[in-house]
Amino acid sequence: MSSTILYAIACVIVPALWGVAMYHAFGWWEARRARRGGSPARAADDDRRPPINYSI
Amino acid sequence: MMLHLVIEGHGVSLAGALLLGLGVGYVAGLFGIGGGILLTPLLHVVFGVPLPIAVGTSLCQMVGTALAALLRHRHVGHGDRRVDVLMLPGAVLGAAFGARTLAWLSRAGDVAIAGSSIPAVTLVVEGAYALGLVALVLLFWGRDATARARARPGPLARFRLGPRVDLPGVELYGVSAIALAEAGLVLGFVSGMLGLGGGILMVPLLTYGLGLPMRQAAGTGLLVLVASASIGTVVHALEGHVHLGLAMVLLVGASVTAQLGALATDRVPGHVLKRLFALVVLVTIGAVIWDIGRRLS
Repeated sequence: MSSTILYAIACVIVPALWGVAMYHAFGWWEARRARRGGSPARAADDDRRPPINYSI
Repeated sequence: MMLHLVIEGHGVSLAGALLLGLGVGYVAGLFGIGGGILLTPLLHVVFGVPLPIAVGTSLCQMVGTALAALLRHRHVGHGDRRVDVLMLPGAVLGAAFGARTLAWLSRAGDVAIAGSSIPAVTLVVEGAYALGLVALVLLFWGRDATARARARPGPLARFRLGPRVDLPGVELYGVSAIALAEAGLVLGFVSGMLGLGGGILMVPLLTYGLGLPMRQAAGTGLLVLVASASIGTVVHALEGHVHLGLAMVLLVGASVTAQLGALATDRVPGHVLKRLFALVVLVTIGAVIWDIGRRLS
């Protein structure tokens, strides 16, 4: 397999691994804040935009 | 000692790139957007990164942000996977085609306008960004219009070309599968060509087109975005248009401050948020128009 193809695959795998790591890290952080009685979670009503919509 | 990333012989300050990632991440978290529409033009105009590499690198870092968002929305049960599945094949094809179109444009040379010449790729991509940013301001200004708790079928949901599918997860029934597949194709093309997650089209499409509530819409398109960003990244990387080091610096910065921006949203009044957002986007529009004008003068 050429180095260009390996590089192209790495360009997807490396940020994807970081994304998964961030999901777990911030999930743990939010759970910890909730346990320690930090600021209450944002209202979960359906008419509010979620805090982060990474889609744009 | 100042560390630099070398991109096509052009040095990009590592600290500057990290600051850009931190800033765009904070803005993204604060205003509830992804930040890609700000990242690509700023990489090009402020840091001088060639447009095809700015687009490819922006898509590459988006694989991480979109995947984290997808996992989070899946965890809380937003969205309907059937919409993603129906849009996915078109989005994948569209992303590959969009990335190849950008590569072709980057080799197309200059366009002569009123006695001046400008690279075709700059004219098309920056022109699209300027229009997209204006649309983003209008969308953000009108976000209250999408504030509803239940789905209300929009024009796309009433499209009658079969086969039709039911989407019980978002309370829509008899939606045309063909219309969703075609929408995926367009979204993928825009994503692959401009380095966007497609949200500038995805959010209006799902909220106004299909009629989804905003919370469901945000969780619905993310699998499509992960797929189109991944395919777009691979095609751009094969063309030599992705700088993985720069993408990771941006991703690391943005993923931390996006959370802080989201937390700060609770402490900033809504009308102040809107004005700040308009200011950020107007500055970016100004930078894009200045860059086009500079090249034409």
